[in-house]
Amino acid sequence: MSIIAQDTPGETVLLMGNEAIARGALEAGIKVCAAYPGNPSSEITGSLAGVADEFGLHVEWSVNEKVALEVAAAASFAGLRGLCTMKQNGLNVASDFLLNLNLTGCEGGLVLIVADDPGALSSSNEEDSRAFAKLGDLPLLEPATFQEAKAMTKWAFDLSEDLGLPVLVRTVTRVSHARGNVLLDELPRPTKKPRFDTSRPRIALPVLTNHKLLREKLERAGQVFETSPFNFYRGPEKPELLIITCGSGWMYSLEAVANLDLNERVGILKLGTTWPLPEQMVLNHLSKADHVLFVEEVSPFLENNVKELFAQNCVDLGLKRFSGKATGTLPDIGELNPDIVISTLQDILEVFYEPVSAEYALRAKEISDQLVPERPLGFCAGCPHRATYWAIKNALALDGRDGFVAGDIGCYSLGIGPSGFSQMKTLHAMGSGTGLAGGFGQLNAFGLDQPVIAVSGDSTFYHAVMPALTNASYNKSNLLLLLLDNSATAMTGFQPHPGTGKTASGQDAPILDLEVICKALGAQVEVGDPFDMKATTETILRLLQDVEGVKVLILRRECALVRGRTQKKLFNMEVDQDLCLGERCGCNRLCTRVFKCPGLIWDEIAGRARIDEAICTGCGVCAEICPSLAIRKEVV
Amino acid sequence: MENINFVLSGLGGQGILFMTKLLARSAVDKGLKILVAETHGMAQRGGSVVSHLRVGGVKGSLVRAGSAHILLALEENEAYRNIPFLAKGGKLYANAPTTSFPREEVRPYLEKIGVECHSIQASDIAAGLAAPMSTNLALLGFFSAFQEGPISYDELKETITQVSPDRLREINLKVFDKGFEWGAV
Repeated sequence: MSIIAQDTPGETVLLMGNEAIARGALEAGIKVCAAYPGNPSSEITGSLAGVADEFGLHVEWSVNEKVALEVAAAASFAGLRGLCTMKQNGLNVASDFLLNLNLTGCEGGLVLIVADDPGALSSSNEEDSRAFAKLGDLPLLEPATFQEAKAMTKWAFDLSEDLGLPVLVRTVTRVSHARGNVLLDELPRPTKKPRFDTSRPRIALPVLTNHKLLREKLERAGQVFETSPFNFYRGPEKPELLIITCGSGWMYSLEAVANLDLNERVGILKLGTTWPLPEQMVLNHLSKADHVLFVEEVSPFLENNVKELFAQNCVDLGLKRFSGKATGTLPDIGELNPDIVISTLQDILEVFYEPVSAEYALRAKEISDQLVPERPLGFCAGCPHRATYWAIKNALALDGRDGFVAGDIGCYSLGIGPSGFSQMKTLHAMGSGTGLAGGFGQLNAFGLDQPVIAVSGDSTFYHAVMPALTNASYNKSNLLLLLLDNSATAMTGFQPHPGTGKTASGQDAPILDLEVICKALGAQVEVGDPFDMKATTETILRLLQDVEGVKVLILRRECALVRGRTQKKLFNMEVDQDLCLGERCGCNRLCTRVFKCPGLIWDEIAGRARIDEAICTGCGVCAEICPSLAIRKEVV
Repeated sequence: MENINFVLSGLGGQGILFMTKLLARSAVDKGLKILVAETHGMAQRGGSVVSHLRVGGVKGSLVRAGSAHILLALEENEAYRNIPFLAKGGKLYANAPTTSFPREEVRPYLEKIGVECHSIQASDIAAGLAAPMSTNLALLGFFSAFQEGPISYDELKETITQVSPDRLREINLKVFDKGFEWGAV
């Protein structure tokens, strides 16, 4: 049984932050959850999908975040509790709906969880989604611990119903992807029948009336927040330094203060409700300290909002010194950690502390930097994307007009680096590769003669590529889109999508055929096998050079990780070390220096290439690349 | 009990998250407070994967440089990469050749800060039992033989029995025990 479904109130269990959020939603009695996957948010909806049948929930992987929020909002409009989850980039997609939804309000509790990725460990940008709370006049909560992640999510539904507004909960990687002890509460089984109240239409017009109402709701949220148990202060009555923090910053601050033994000198104001600010509470603490340090992830959101509040009250408060990201005291890019907070406190308060001596620490770093190879991210052994990029590289080289790939979001984004032979030259949002390629196609009329290839994964196609492809067809662009259909949303953990024939909770669904859709959107469609690199190269070259208009080449092979679980090897691979010429071959070790499938390794002793049996998936692709024909494949 | 910090390192696909889960579950099951930080997502694709596990009344989930009591490494280079985490007198357990680990260049430093190193050819042991994907369990079994830290061999074994999928339970336990035997020698 899934741990989040465990009906043992009072028991403490080990939960990942994202599981704690899912549990909080279950304890709040949600009926609907909709999401698009993305790190570090995916496990919230993933774990709810696993218990959907047991709790009678509708849980879906929607095609994109905007639709997900609309699905969750419909539940709310009909009086049920709805949850929507996404990563920070997803909120950009959902924001168009969100910034109308704030005006129409909600009925059943509606909570939007956004997981930010400080340091962009698994993202194409480093974005602070909290800006949307301020932009949309929406209440914002930020959990700092696993227990809070659960409790806050649960409470967010009450707050949402109380205010008649969707509530944003912002989590970060170190809360979402960390595990800790969580105390379980009761699991309700709501049976309310949904009904949309037609006497209360959800329409933003008249805008000014609804905008006024929204401002009033937000003001009320501020009042509620004044007494929220998620905001509290720990420290001396009049601290020398006041830290104002939220989310994972609270853990780092606690640890830093404890390690430096600063309990008598530093106070920590931990805020769980960060927009609107609990103004009186913040002003009260500002009045007792002359120096304030802000510890928060990504942007100086708290910092600037508190400074704004200070500016309105500075006549009463007098002079203060503020330190944080905006003042350059803490780095304003990248992820925070306890060491950064410790060294900041050391500088501000002139205290000295070192867990290991600086000399040792430096030496350790030197050693590890010297000895350890960098590990650029790369495609897995047997990944169809490696074969696809090999074909692209060869086709563009044969074409000879300095062509390039307009990239998109997914595992295949690694085409920016050596694993995809650096073919990808643009990378932005979901669907932007095809949008840009359609735009480049229009420039042929002005003399642009470089061929452009858009790539998209299957899940990305349904998410945001369809409008771009429609646009290219309608506006008569010249476009080649390679649809890398690996039958999975691989990067985020193999969530099903409309092409897989399965729903989030594992039920059968109609497959929305990529070929049929692309044809209906006006494209000329061909289907190929990326493992046949020679044929793929020829097809790409032909479509680039001989066929005008909008073309889609669907390259279909299941993700290597999925194949590994469900299928046996296609081939037994072997390097004939008598045929391999090693360093003497003119190929400059093409197989292990350029193609670089992890299943092909360099045998230092023999001075020849070798197959690593434990890693090779038997796709057979590498047999095509060896000029000496030393790599052999044998059908299993 | 004093706080114990673990750093677990390896490459994407080696099962760092599962190994972390086994230690974490065992700790929680015996009533210890823990915090864990994990690597997920794109960072896992062929990259270095690190988990932090902290046992005791700690504040945050990240282990700080110079404060790990135990470093478990599923790959030799990933052991070296994470040396800066090791505290004075820390213990390092690595999947690496027993004869040449740790490398000459690192030895003086590790000796100076009093780090004890133990290595086992965990990949070979797992492969020998026709379970190359269970290298993590061989290393964990090996580690459990040294009785370092708050979690015992028996407790880990119980957790493996509980959380392994049915089809893998037997082989997981077998590899774990084989690793233990190597460590107990």
